[in-house]
Amino acid sequence: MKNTWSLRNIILLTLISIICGIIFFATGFLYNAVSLALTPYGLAPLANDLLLGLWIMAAPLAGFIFKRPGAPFLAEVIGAIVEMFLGGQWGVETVVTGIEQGIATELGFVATKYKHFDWLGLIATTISTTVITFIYDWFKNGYNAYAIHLLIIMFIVRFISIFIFGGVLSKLIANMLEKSHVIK
Amino acid sequence: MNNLSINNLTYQYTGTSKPTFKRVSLDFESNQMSLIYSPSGSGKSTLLKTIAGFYPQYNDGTINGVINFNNQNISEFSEWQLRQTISMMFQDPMQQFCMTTVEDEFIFTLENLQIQPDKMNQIIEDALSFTHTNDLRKRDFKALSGGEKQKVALSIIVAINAPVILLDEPFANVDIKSRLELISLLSQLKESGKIVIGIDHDLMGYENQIDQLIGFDEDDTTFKPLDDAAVFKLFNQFNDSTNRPLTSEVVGEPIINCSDLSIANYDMNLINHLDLDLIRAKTTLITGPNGCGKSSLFKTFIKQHDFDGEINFNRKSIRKIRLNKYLQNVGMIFQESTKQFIKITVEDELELSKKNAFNNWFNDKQITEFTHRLGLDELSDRVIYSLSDGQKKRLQILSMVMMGHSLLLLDEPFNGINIEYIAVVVDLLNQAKQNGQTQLLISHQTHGLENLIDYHLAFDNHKLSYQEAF
Amino acid sequence: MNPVLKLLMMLVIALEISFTTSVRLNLVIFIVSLIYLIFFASFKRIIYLLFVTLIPAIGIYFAQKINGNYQYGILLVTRLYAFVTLGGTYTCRTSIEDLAGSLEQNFRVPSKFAYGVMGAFNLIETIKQEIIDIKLAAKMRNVHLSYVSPTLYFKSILAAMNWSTLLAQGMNSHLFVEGSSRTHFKKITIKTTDYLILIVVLIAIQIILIF
Repeated sequence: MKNTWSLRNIILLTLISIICGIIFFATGFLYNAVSLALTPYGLAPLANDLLLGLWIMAAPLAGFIFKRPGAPFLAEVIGAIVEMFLGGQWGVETVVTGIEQGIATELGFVATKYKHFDWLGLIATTISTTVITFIYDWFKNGYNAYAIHLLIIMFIVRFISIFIFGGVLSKLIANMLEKSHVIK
Repeated sequence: MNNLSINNLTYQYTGTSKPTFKRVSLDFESNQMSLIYSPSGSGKSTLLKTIAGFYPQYNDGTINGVINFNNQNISEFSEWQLRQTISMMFQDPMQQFCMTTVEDEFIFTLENLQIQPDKMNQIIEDALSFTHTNDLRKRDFKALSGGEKQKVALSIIVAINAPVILLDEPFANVDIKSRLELISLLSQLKESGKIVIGIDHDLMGYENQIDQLIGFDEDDTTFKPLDDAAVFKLFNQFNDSTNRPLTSEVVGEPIINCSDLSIANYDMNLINHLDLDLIRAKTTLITGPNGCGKSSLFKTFIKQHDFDGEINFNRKSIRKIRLNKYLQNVGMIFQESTKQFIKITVEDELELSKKNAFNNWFNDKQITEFTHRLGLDELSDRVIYSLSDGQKKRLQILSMVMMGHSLLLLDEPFNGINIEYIAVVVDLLNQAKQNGQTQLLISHQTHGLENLIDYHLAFDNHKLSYQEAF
Repeated sequence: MNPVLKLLMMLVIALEISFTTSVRLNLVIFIVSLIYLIFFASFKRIIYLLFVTLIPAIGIYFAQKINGNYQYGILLVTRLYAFVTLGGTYTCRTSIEDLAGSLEQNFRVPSKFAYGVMGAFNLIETIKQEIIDIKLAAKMRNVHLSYVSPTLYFKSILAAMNWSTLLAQGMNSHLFVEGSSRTHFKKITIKTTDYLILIVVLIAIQIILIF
């Protein structure tokens, strides 16, 4: 992959976001079910934290596959723009979130200087993504008003979700691609 | 008068021990339509993409030799210049359109060609009228049939107006009527001075249209023009398929029964009011030209295509059987091998089938034997995605037959399989059949299948009927 | 209005309402957007937007009511509806082609980004089918792939790698060459009024926030 952003790789990057989107949306009922089940306890936002890892998966996946600066950010932003035009309900807000989440994951790779596409990199992106998206939700989704114990639960759930889906699952997928020699 | 000449062209994929083809020397001229006709997997697609200049750019490989257009080496052309010299019509229509509508794709192409906007409308109208598709101008590609998409693709090629037109099996998803229309349009382009070079593994519709037939010489791993006698023999062989007698009187209990079955694709009727029994524990060959509906019929049988009428599997309507349960009984060997695999190495793929088989028809000893006879034992720790097409195909067949589906659909399973392995695959399939498996087979290739095929169904006029020979 | 400037304007508004706590601003955006939608979007689309937002809206309202701050709940619900209607106004009048065209012509984004993304966008149906086929093939092998199976993603990405190569070749053969210049059938411009609208809208929002 000499020329990282060749036409072919731009198409591939977009398709990876699209694939994550298609598979994620197939779980849309799951989000609604969890969200509804938690509503009577006032814990609906927890559904968001629970599934966030799946939601942001395209970014770390693109990082592991392309191993180049910008890949996680672009995957997330392009994915958001595509989703907006597909008629997703959140429209422009998706793009704002995409930019924020893209930066969040990108920072994890920056912290490891794009040299660690291993467990260290995985933990770095998990931390950066969890912290930054949590700060964003602090304002956007009014997390600042919640009781402290709830915040702690939300943070931990979010961390685990991002670690499992954005981290471990992405890494397993990247390992399979490496093992089949389609990426280096 | 233009001329495209290939001198001593050799292509080798990185990581393989032998070149795909070597020392290919061919000549193509204006007013000539040439067809490269050879079995799947012989490297004709690689040859075509090398001529087009896509390889090695899009593929790890090394190329030796020279391709000249009017005595100028095309490797010295800029890419933009090259693409204006050599146009290509692709196998899958969807791969050549990046825009949503026909008109937008035209505009995209004309912008790339640096045409002034005020000239575009006329060019588009003229190009579409060449293929009689002006009414498709505002349409979405999504809503077009395979034949319509390829006609639009050809119109765009007309608009580009390159002297060389390459065809990469462009009729694979095209109905018969459109196929004949397209071939006749290509013939007109040839008459107007174009160089037309196609590849195909199906000769249907090409007779009397082509000026040069090129075949693959296995001994020299090279492509060579065939002489008149060889061409005559090939077309005769192709037209005459009544040499191996069979019975058209089917007896036995049906596993599938269709009543009043109709299947359509994009408003095009493929099968009309068909009543048919498919017999249990037999191998039935299904033939018909490309686009007649063979693949759609298979898709219907795995519940992936709409149909009218009724299909019963073991006397139960397939509409009433849950997909998960149904696919434990009905399996399909896809034309595209890669789609079928789940694991990464050969060993793991076979292990999975052994572990997950719905019916354990094969014991360990038999599995080891077939693995050996199919030449897969020495590949056991290899990554599937680095195998040759033939190796992938053999692995795919073995791992699917091992699953023990009571009905197995095989879509062109012999593509890319060398003649010496065909006998092994036949043995394998017969073994499964003895255990009670029913097999439906779509195959262009019928040589060496005498011991396998019990019945032959041929498509004719939107119906299928049992034949007395294959 | 120019597609990129319009997107920019909306991004700023979305960001602003994410970080401020004015129910009034949210309501103004909601009402203005809704009026716009009534004029330009289909009835079905409006009903869809209002309806699907109910679940998260109720969820977040009760979450605040039970575990947080009741008034905050109202703020968040109005914010959600402001987002949804605001977003709806963008896509009902602007296509991905327009955005890509403007990025290419007015903002010098390399055309390969604009058209690469668009090409991939038009492959969505094909990729959906690939995913269905992958699941189908797995079922035939007695393997059930779900959204947490690495294999499902792995196989899908392999298919995407194949398609990206095929489509890039297809686009090349339609004379799309990286770095080569192109003519433009549809000229996309930035008019002075576009800047004016941008400035007026943004100032209006600050005014609503302050007073």
